[in-house]
Amino acid sequence: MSVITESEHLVIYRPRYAVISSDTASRNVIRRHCLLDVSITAAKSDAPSSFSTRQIAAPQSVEKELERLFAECQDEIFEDGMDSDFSRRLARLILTRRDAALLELNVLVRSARTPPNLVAEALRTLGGISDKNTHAFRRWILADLLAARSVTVRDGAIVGLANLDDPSVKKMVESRLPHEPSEQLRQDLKQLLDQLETPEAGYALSVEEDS
Amino acid sequence: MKRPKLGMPYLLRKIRRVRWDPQLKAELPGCADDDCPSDCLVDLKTADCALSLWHVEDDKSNLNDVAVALATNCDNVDHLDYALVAREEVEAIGLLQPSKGATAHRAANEQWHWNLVNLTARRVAHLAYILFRSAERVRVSKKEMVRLIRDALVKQKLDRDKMKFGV
Repeated sequence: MSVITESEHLVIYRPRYAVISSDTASRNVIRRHCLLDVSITAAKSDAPSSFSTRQIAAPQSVEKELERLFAECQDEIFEDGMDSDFSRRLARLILTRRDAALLELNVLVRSARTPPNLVAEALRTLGGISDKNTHAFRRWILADLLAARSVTVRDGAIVGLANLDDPSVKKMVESRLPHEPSEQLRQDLKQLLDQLETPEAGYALSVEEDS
Repeated sequence: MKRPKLGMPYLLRKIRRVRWDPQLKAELPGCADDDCPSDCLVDLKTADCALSLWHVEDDKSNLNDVAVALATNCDNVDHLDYALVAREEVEAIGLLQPSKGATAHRAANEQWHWNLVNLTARRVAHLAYILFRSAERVRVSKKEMVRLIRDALVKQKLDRDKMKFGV
């Protein structure tokens, strides 16, 4: 039986989606390669063309529902430890629509039109959801947004990963540390690494569950 | 009401730390050196022109108790971000009045809760800048908060009926 390192594990079980999402403003087709190095797990020919119909596109209702949620909650003020209408509704949507919701959310949280404060709250919520079926996808979104441009979004990603408590992201956190411009967030990344040394039992998926 | 001796103590305010990150100021075009991002004001929400603050002894001996008090006021256990500033800096802005807290922590409610009163918009903005410039801003992880709350429960410092969550 071969041994899989943590970093390999994160890459191997990164969700294999090419997200095709309709941008409501321009109806442009956006192709997003979530798989950064397709050669690891799939042939390059597996990546769909812009006109491919082979990939699963999220139902429009999920897209609309998420957009409505983000629009309705854009003025909500968030406080740590306090429930918010936004996080409750978002968690419910992800638990019911799973990957379809995450595919659309992945586009929304990267849109320049989405307020960073709302993106950060979405990331905090993503980390707090307990659902094995969407764990890998949520983990990938959170880890990837450690490199976001906005300090608010990066903070949300750190909190989300702390809530997720999955040690398989340690290597990514370590690699991000020297590039983080905020002194506060460097402290938080170090705190996150300390936490991931001793994750709570039952928080993270085992390799078997993750496959 | 028992009140602590005043040496060179601090005042503590619960915040969301990223709103006070100098990097956020760097991202904000046109923010002057003696100014701070307006999002900081979100953490200084007043009621009846007063702001709730917590007294922390100069040796920080009651810091964990105050952190627990604030955490038990929440819907869920979460990490806790706070700003700690020298009490004398706040006293220069307005009047501090002792007030009973409304948390699950009995001793904290009686001994360490204060209100900064008679606040104006300008005074709140001034306080925001002082906190931005000189406060120590700390994040206590969720796991550490769970440990502190459990410890306080074991020592019977908390009124369970006032807590909205279990640990």
